[in-house]
Amino acid sequence: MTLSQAREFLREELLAVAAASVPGLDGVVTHDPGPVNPNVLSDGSGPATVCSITVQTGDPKVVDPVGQTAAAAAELTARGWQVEVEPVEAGHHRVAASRDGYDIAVHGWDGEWRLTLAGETPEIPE
Amino acid sequence: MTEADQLAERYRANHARLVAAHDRLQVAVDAGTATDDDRRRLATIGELIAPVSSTEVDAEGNVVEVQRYRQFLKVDPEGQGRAVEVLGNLPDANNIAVLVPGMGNSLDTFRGQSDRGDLIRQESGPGTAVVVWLDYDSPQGLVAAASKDAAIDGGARLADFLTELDDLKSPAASTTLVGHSYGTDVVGQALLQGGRANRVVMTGSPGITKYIDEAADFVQPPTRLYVERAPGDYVSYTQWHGPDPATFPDAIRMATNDPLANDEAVSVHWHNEYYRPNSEALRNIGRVVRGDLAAITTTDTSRSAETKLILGTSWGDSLAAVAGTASKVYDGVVSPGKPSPESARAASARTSAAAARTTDGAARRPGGPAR
Repeated sequence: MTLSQAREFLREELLAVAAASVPGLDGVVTHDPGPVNPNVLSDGSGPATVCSITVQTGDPKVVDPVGQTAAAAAELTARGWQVEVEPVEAGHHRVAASRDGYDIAVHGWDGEWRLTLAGETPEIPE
Repeated sequence: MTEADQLAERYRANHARLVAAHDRLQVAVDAGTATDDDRRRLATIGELIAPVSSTEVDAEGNVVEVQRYRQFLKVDPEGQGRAVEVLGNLPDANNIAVLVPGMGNSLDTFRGQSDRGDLIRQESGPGTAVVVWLDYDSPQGLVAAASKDAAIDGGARLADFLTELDDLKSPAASTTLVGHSYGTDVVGQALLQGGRANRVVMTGSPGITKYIDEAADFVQPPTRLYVERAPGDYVSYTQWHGPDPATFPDAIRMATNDPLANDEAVSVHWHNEYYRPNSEALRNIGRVVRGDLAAITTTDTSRSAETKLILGTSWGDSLAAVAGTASKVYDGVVSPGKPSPESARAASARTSAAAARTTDGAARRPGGPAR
């Protein structure tokens, strides 16, 4: 699989999980800049081998981080991801998911209608 | 004009500066006079001026997708290039992180820096704005990185920016400086030159100066220093610029791996994995930025233990003693091998209860997050 294909796969997965987490609404891709060097904070001269994508969804009329992160976990599991629902930490509801080197973090927060899904591809040299 | 209007105008002016540079470079490309560097910069600027999406609520209370231009407080499209970008709503933010990247960066690598800034923002939660701060001449290679000149010059700029930030943010908002690698040197110099922040995070630091061996030497109370050194981080082991901040007696040494996690946990090792999604390293950075200090997990592993666990024999101390080798590993020329996730977790599992301290009045849990 190429990095471009991995990026497409990750975006489709994030949007599918977002749609299942908040039914009736489509997720919005808020961050999808393309391949970056995973070492960029210390050495930006290296090759760009990973892609990060962030998707947001949520209904301003329904603040339900518990239900929405649970729905996200169920959808990720159904799609073949290894899923861990983390203990709530100071109002932070998190689902951590991994699959074939991909990572997804689903963030819900008490009092916040937005559900955020952040994912990263495995390193794939182009 | 309100402060919000002034900020919006500043964003618009810097966008216009980028558009003008884009137009100039496009003319050169169309005329066939552009160099390879010109074409690369044209692509970079084309990306920086492209709109991005966010979710907002309309007048009827429905969520809508909004497209807007990126928010640059400063940009210099010439030469190596510089940029200071705001991710999020700066005036309304409760928590602000200022991310300072390390060596090898330029405007053409800004995508990756902004990418990491977005991860920190998502990890830190609602009400967080991240400022990706590349307003210094990041050393372009090992020879340049051997000099502290860029850190000293950049530190002065960063100190000035922190003062400026006080006028741009809410008075109640907390500011966390987050530096990585050579960026920790810039952060250290900024603090030495009068820069102030509520909290300071350093990951993978090569040291500040040879005379600084405790946080109190450059971090003014009540600000606390939070440090991450992952198992196998050869840059920290080399102590190239000074004593490793992870060894400072008055710094809070945060865990980079979750000692209680299962086999699927995201492990962090070597120098460049501190910002991996779902990693304990990134989670702890998020906890610091949002002020959830009681949830921070800590460790006190020694480099000897870390490297012995990774390769079966300790090489961290001897590595630090060999300056030539240190230079090479800092540049990524030498990498002694990659540890397994198991070894990284084993190293992190040595989390010590003795590392428990009080941070900003909040007690830390030494055993890692409850699971």
